Amino acid sequence: MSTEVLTEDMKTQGPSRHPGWSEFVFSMKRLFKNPLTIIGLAIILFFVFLAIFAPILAPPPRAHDPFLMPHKGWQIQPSPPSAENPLGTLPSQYDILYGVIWGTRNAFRIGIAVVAANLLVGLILGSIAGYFGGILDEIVMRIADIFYAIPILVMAMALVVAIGRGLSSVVVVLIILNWPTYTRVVRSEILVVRNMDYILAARASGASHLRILFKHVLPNSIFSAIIVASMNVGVTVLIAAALSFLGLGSDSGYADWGAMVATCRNYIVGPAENRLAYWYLVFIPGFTIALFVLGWNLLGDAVRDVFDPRMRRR
Amino acid sequence: MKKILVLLMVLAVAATAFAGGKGEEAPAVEEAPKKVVEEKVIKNPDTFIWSSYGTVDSLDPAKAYDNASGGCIYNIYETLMYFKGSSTEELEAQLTTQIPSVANGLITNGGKTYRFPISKGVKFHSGNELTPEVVAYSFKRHLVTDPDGGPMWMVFEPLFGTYGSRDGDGNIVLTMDMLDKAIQVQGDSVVFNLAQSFAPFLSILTYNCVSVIDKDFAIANGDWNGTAADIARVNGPEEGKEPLYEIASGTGPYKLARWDKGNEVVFERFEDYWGPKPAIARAIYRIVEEWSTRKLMLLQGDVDRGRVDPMYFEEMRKEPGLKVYQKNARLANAGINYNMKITSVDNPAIGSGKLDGRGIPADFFSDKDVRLGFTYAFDFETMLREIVKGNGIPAATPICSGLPFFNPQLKGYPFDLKKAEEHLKKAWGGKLWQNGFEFDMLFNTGNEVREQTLKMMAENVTSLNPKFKINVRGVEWATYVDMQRQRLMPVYYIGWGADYPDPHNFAYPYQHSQGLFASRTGYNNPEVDKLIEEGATEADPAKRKAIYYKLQDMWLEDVIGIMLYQPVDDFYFKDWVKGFVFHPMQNDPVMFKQFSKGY
Amino acid sequence: MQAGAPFLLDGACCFQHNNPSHHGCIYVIKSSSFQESNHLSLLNYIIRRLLFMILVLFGVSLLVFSVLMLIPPGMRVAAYVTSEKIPPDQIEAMIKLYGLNDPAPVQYFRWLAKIFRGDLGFSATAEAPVLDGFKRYFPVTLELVLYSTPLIILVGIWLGTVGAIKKDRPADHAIRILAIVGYSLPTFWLGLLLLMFFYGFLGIFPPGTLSVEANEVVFGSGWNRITGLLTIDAIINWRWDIFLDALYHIALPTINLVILDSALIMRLMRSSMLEALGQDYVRTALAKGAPNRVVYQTHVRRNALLPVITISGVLFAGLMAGMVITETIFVRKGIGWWMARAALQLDVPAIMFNVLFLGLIFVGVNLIVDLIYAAIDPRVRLG
Repeated sequence: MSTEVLTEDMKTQGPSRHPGWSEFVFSMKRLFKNPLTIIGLAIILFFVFLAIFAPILAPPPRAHDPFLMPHKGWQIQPSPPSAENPLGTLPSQYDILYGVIWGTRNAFRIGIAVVAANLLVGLILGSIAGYFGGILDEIVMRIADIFYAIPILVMAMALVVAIGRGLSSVVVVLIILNWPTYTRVVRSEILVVRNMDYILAARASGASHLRILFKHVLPNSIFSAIIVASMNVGVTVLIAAALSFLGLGSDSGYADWGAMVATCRNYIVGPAENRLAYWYLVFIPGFTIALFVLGWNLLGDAVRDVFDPRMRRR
Repeated sequence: MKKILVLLMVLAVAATAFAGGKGEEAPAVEEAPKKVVEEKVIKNPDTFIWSSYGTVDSLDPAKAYDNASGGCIYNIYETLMYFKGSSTEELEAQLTTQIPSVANGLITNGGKTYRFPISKGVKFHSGNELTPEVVAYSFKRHLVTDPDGGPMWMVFEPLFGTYGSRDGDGNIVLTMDMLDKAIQVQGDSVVFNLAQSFAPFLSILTYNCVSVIDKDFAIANGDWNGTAADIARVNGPEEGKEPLYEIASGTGPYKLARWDKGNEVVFERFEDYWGPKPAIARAIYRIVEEWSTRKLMLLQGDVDRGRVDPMYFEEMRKEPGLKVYQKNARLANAGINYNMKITSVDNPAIGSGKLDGRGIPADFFSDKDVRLGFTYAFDFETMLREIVKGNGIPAATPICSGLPFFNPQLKGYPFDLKKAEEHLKKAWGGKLWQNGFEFDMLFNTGNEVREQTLKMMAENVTSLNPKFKINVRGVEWATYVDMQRQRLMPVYYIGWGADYPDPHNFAYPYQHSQGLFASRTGYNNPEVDKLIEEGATEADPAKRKAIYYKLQDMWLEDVIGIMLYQPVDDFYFKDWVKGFVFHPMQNDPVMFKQFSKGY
Repeated sequence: MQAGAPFLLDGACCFQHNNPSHHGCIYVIKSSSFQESNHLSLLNYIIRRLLFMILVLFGVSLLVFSVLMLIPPGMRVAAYVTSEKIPPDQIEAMIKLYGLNDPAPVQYFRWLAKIFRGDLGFSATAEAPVLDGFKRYFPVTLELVLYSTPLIILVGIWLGTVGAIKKDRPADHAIRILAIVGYSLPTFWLGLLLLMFFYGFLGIFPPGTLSVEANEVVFGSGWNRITGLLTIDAIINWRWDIFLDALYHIALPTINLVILDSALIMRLMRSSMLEALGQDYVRTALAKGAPNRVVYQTHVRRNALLPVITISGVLFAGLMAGMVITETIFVRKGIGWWMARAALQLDVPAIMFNVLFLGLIFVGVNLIVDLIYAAIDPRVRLG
């Protein structure tokens, strides 16, 4: 099947086409054939739009700190959706729509920062462990084993309390606790690749370790890590939201989706006349998180389907 | 796989059938909660269930210093006397036969000696008898135990003029000699010899830290054996290691039946109680932390009283089937203190540490104009109306209404942004207005009233000048405790609940340079200190009144902080509850002996 | 087995190291634990793994303790500071009393020595010695895990199988969408929605573990507390009303967990089945005329189940560790709920104990899964 596709392309574009490009075209074609990809991409683009145009869509009341949500008055009881607050308010009258829009920036920051940093750390440590092997490998892997056995949520909570709560602490803590996974992925790929003939040939011809690492080994091992990374953005945002929900993210009054969900806990049961009176509070911020994560998960799935060499040519 | 479907369906059916049929075993009834329960059936007619969210720290009288623990202790143990009805000044005798006074000759020696004749025929839950020796032992034992962070300091003050049994290095300075001189058994009485005359002494003896315990029971369970040699063993125990932590034998109307930690404390009526037999046979203090659950339990009658926080008063006052006691003023208040000597080493809350627009210097608030500026910028009316929602009495000074020598004429500074601006422009020779400032205000997460009050204050101040920046941040309890201890906070939000109903208990922490709040702010006014010390030892009420009136004036003059309000609470019971009498010093839970259930 | 550990969030797992949809899992298992060598005795293997477990636990305790020691003593003492009235000098005295200012190694060895003596310390959040707190809270978590794990696995297997068999048809699409949506839902959100609808609106399925009356019975005299698991104890005490009451309270959290976590099993099962279905021997069997049903159930499913077994073990361990949010929302006082409070209040003895306990569970479950795996798959040799 693979040869057929290549020759197809070559027939139309001529034999001078670089195989990398046609592979890329193939990937893109496959990517967009999947309806779920389109949906995922659409969702993410929607949020990107919200993030970029936040200052226009929801003008911040305090220029120096746009993440502070506006509120009219101090009444603790939340207000239902109205012309003034299209999505209703949180307790203490913070506007939900504003929080949703500006919270998007935070969500992107967290997801991308954690995953990117983890990827980097994983590449470095995984390379060291996988390529050089021996005692370095043992040390890194044993420490990774220990990290695996630690319950993440509890440790994350204790660490955030220690460092001081806030979204940057959440990011730092998640990076610290997640490094073993990426390291492992990179390492196992490298273990497979490093014994391949072309690597041995390069060693035999006198190439330095670094050169081999960067030029030959890493480019071939990086894909798994990228796949894992893309699938992980969603889950990272979920855990960060959970930490915010438990009170360790931003202060109240700041646009932080998880913290917004947490404010609804006292309003699950409404007054006698309307037990569902605060439905908007319980539903909307959480729905935003779910939608965001769904978009990333769909995209991640699609990326994996397309780019994973084992799944590619089915 | 169809089996799974069947299983799920069975579960679903069981659930709905259950919700329908077993009404009395689930807090929810099958009719949607919109309908009012028609039949006037009293649930659990012999049991009284009091629900709140304060956890019980310890049942040991020498250790317990929180509301929930105190409340439980007051049901199990008794003090020599307690207040009568709702009064904060009139006492009624419990384990003594007469309240000492100068008139009946039981207070002598210029107010330094108190004699308490002990009642006869009183039994403990274990069956042991109450004797004067037991009473003397109780007092000595509490003083000897004196755990860190406990309430015993308030007994040390009048008896010895000190605040604890240990010195700054942790060495025990309390001796058997000191105890024997201060507390003596003479015939059928117990005699106290104070270090100096102390006006509030009788009030202090109503606090649960001097509850009378069962000597033989205690010693049999490993408590202090009464000798000098044993003092070191029992002094300053670690958390959970105090001997009467979870076991109890007292003279009170209820016995400790069971303490399910974190869940509930169960009390059973003591049939050999010396006093009138309580109507309720069994009482439970139940901890329910989730508001939604607590609310429904109260509405359904699964608990007889549910604690309601002020933000829900409005909606709960409209609910059917409840008996509401509205607007009860407690002997407590809240305020904001300015820190005039902020710890500047390693302090993120003060930014650059200089008056350069990006921070504040450590002595920022030592300039009175700064304090006045902030005070005039505080919108008192809005706070009372929207944040406290009318559930508070405005407070002008630390002496709150209900205390003797409270001056009702005094008012705090009015909300006046122009005056605020004026003072801030004068502050620090004009540099403040020119350069601006930035600092953090902190509150402990979960406390919405504090959060909103500080945020409102910050917004008002920062509205005066764009160079003014205040960040209001919430921190976890651990961080809050740490920062408070190290005096890192530029502004403290403080609250005090009375230990005993005397102005000394409020004046000292708020205004004395060694007091809890004032010492944290670096406030030191020798005249104030002297007045406070005199006020405690002065016996003549007229002279005391003059002293405390002066102290209240000086609070407003020195303006080291803003007093906010005195909380006013509603109490929500199910409508079949009878007999509740509010007392400003009451705990949560209250004494169950006052209740009965019926229509 | 050190295959990817779940991203622990009430068991909502993500297998980060490898694509769970193909046998990459098995690859890693093979390369790290097993070797193609001669049969070493089973006992030998188990002993080695147990030694390894002790080493890991030691490492975990050291690592976590070191991290906690980074927290200043002024914050670690806060767990004992129950009131704002306590003056600073008393707080200083408390710091000295608990030795919080001593150098970290001293504190660590003091803690270690106490552990070996059997004194696990006093938990300020449980207001009881740590072991008592554990005995009180663990059964609550265990009960929920025991009820939800089999359901999650069964639902996941069932729907995953259906999806694979009816590949690319409407049923499959529906299942895949269900899976990915379930995978994306925040735990706390779904729980709160369920509570709002069922409890707030309909008035059924209240939070908590028992109703008020049932609570009286269970904690009163005359109740034999054998296991601590409410449903089991209820049967032992022959109180079917309590049994139903406990079941009634456990229903909603279980539903919550099933919706969220079966998604993962669904996906795994589906792709695992697809892989197995594509194998030659299956096509041969089908070509030879064996009925679909027989082929699926005997050949395909058995092989497709292998990775699911792995994941089940991890799911179990993950649920144990990650119950924090479910328990917080549904007000079930289990170890997850306890741990949330311990972490927020920096209750060091409680945190240390629970980290050790969960580490033990994790490593233990891994060992058991490896052994089961070896028993089932003849290709695997224990090395």
